[in-house]
Amino acid sequence: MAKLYGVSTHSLLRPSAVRVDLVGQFRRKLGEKNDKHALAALALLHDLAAANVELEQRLQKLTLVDYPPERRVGRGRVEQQAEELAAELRSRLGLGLGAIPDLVGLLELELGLRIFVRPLHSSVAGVYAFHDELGACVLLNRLHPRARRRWTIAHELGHFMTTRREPSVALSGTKKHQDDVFADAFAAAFLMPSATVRRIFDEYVGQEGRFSARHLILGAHRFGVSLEAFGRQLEKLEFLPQGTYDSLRHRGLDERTVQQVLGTQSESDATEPGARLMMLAAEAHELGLFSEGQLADMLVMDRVDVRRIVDAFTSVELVDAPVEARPG
Amino acid sequence: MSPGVVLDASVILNLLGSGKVTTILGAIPGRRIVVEVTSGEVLRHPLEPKSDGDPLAPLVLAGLLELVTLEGAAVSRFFDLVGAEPPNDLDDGEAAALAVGESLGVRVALDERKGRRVASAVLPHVELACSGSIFADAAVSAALGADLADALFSSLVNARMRVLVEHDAWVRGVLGPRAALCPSLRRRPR
Repeated sequence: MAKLYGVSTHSLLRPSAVRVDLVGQFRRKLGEKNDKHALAALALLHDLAAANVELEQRLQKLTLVDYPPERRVGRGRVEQQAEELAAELRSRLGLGLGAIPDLVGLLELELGLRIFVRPLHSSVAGVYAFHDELGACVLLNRLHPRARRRWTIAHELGHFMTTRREPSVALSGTKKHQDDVFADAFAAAFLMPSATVRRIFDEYVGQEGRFSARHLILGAHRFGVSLEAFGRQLEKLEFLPQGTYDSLRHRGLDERTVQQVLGTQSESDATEPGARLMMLAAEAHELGLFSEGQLADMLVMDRVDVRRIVDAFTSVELVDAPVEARPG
Repeated sequence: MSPGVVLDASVILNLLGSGKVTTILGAIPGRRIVVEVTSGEVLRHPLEPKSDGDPLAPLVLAGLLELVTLEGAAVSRFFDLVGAEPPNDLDDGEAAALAVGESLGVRVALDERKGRRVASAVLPHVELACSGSIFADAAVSAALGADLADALFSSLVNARMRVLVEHDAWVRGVLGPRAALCPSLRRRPR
């Protein structure tokens, strides 16, 4: 049976293994239009989320979940509703109007979302799924730039806020469903609140009297979004005429220009998505709960990579000293 | 015990990572066995991570490794070990290696702490070896000759080889100052 399903015998027999049917849920939603890369990404998301939950249960370190209520998109302008919901969530998270430097860390810690990052097919930016046993989970494409991954998380957050129980796959270049139009508008408003965009625009234009490609690059960098995302937001808010971004691209705005303005920038996130899962895995290994072979199977990883993780999380033991508990 | 060894994936990866796997396997007397289930866990060659081929296929073809399947009493032992109550459950590869080692009366090379703990408790009659003991074996050390330190170093760096406490001093002695460059040696021995 293990051979038939392409899984290990141990994973079938392990009583603590978490098994739910995310892929079936997705197949039912898409009907005939199943995309094999999307299904593969969803299967991987299932494995990672299931491993995360199992490790938490075995280590008795459960994720604290604090989901805001789900809100259905109602009648009226989608973009306005997206902006209102993004503002509400920002307020709930105590974010004010500033840029969000550590989006992954924020969503993991404050809401309890499970966020992972792995190399996926280039057509898949990310997948989102929800299940009562797994909670809300997101898998992002490691091969995409950081700004794109931030957009994908914010987009999936839009789904989480409105159609929580429906799995979603962010695919490149496909016709957008109405839910995705909302999720994109939500992502834009959540990452780039209009009041802050206005302030930044005024600051730049006030300095030099005109808006240049350099300002586009600096603004996108401040928000941690792509040039296109910032450019489109400026156009949508009517700070720039429609078509300005495309025109700049045609006139040679590219990665080289970005490097000239910003220098070489680090691509790393403040919080590496999935870092908590790796920490749990290393701890479980150290306690002898799981072997490296079991972890490689659960985390869908090469064994040498599992060893690297165990080494990374267990080689530095500078904080072994007991910490006194604070009363109350 | 008959001469030879059944190799678990945790050990095979280190031998591959040494860059001298053919020399090492050639110096081990008797049968050098890998169970089919275990071989399925060696997905990538630590020195050729981008290669898609089966890293063990050339070794099997050259007669340096003998690929066997689970048969007879080993099958039920395999299921006992895999299906044991946690935390005494083993992964497929370890369980297969131990089950075949028991059934053939051949020692089993296994580095994983959990696997060794369970094997010592459940199969005390099966002799255990490990990567360290293979490198330290007189015949293997002699075959490697001047390459011994480089092979060890490569296993430690490229495959993150685990070293059991009983071989820690020997490994550090062979490596000299390079021991400080090995991430898996920095871990506190337990």
